[in-house]
Amino acid sequence: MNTPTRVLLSVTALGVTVPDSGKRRKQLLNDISFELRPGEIIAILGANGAGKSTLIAVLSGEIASHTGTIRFDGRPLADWSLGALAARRALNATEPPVPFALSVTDYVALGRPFDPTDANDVSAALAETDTTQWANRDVATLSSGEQTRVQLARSLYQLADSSGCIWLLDEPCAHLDLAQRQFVLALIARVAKARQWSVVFSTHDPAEALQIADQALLLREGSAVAVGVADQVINPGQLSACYGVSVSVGEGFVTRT
Amino acid sequence: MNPISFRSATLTCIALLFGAVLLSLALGAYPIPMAALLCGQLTETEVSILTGLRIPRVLAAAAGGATFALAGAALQALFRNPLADPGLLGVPAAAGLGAATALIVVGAGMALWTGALLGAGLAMSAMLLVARRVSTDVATTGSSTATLLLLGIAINAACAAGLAMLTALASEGQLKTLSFWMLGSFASLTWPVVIALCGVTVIAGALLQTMARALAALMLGDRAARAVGVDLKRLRFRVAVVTAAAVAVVTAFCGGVGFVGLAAPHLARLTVGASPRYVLPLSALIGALLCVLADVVARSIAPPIELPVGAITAILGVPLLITMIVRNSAGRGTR
Repeated sequence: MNTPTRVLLSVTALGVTVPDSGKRRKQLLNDISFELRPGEIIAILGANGAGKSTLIAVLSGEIASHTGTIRFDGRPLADWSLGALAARRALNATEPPVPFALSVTDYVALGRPFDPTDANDVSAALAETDTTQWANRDVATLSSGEQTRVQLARSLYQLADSSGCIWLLDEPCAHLDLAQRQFVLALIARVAKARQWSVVFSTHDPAEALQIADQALLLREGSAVAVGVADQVINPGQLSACYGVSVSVGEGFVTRT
Repeated sequence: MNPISFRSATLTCIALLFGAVLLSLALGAYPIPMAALLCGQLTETEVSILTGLRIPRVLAAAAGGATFALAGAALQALFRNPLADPGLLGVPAAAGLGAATALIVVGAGMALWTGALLGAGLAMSAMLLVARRVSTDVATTGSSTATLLLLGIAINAACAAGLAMLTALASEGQLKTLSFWMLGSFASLTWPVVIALCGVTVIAGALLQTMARALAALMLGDRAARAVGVDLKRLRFRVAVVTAAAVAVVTAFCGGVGFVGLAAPHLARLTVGASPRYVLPLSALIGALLCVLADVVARSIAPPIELPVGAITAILGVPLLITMIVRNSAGRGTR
């Protein structure tokens, strides 16, 4: 099983449509394909409305009706039970505020809601995200950037040290300042390599993709402008096609020209 | 945030409930000395008053209060909203409409109860039919709880309209019976009814407890809850069935005892924190305590007149709730 060629997540000719006006259907995603091996990170890039979040929602199983196939560890995604997936797939997306007072420790422990809390694992997840100092704080009193890190801690606790996991992150660096963003990107890269998880993350910033992604998928209006090795596909030509504006790529940064 | 341990909170509530039950058994138009009650040295009259009137009454109050509180706690967790209460889904209002219809068409007593049960059952079925169809796709996931909520509002509005029309047709006497029932009373229930109420409470409590861990995960929001393994559609359906059925039965026999379902879960959360595993059982105890006390007060203020229990629960509960909230926010500080 653990050969270097083992594919953890494979997406083939994925398409998603939703009802539009009249009998027509609107194409949200069209013919998307890629493969992820353990420890690999793919960045989903694209303008607002390009289909980044839709792709994450399909991979998280929230959009069940699609064409094409998605296989997780060799089996079709639809054949997995929710419980089995919860042990090997984590999701971090925009979340509503926690409605009741809840300590950070208790919040992180909800990553595995049906198991008795493992205090060691919770501590490890807090340490890894550098959130230990807030362990007894009410989650709602944290800033949005701090909450993001606590949410990441929850996913780390959810999957613990399991291998062969996929981690889906919908714009994990939105609302983060420069330092927090670097911290989160480094965390994602470190976890992916150390635990051999496959990571899918979406972002508005091509520089983030250049920094940690092995592969990149550039979306425009639901279709792939380019997909492949991040350093190769993130170039001025492809980015310009993806965003519809003229773009130049420097050392670790991307600017509009 | 410094929640008291669940065990000490539970033990305190049980002790208070025990005291309230004793008080309820002793007080009334025919007072029974506490000493006699505790030693068991009772006259024949006292025994018949206890078994015929006061024990069924205190049991009904405890069961009714516990059920409303359990339903409130479960719905607040389900809707992720501390303002949710058992009336939200329209079940008590539908029970009220059913009761009024039966009262005017047939008469009081068994007919009123049957009417209330039928009304509540109809409202519940309508709601569940919709709940079943509510999709869990991401496109609608944000609105599915809102759909349930809207449906509850619609049922409430329709029942209020129906009730308003019926009251125009009702006689003076019928209006009085109806308004008394709607404000809630634990009086004159027979033993079979009381046993049924207790059974419903225990079953609802046990079923909701099995959903407590999934309800806890809902605090993360629908998407994250699903990602950590919660079957949202099934959970929503189950919580709706259990709470609506339990509230339907209790409302049919005891009327609309308000505020307990809102206040008890709040008090429980302020005591032990947000986890439904602790909030559900503690809410049940607090709800039982509130209703037993309210019942004692309702029949001791101006005997032999009995005041409506629903009004007393609000009068007792509001200051308690406000005190707890003020104390809690003063202690938290950072928020």
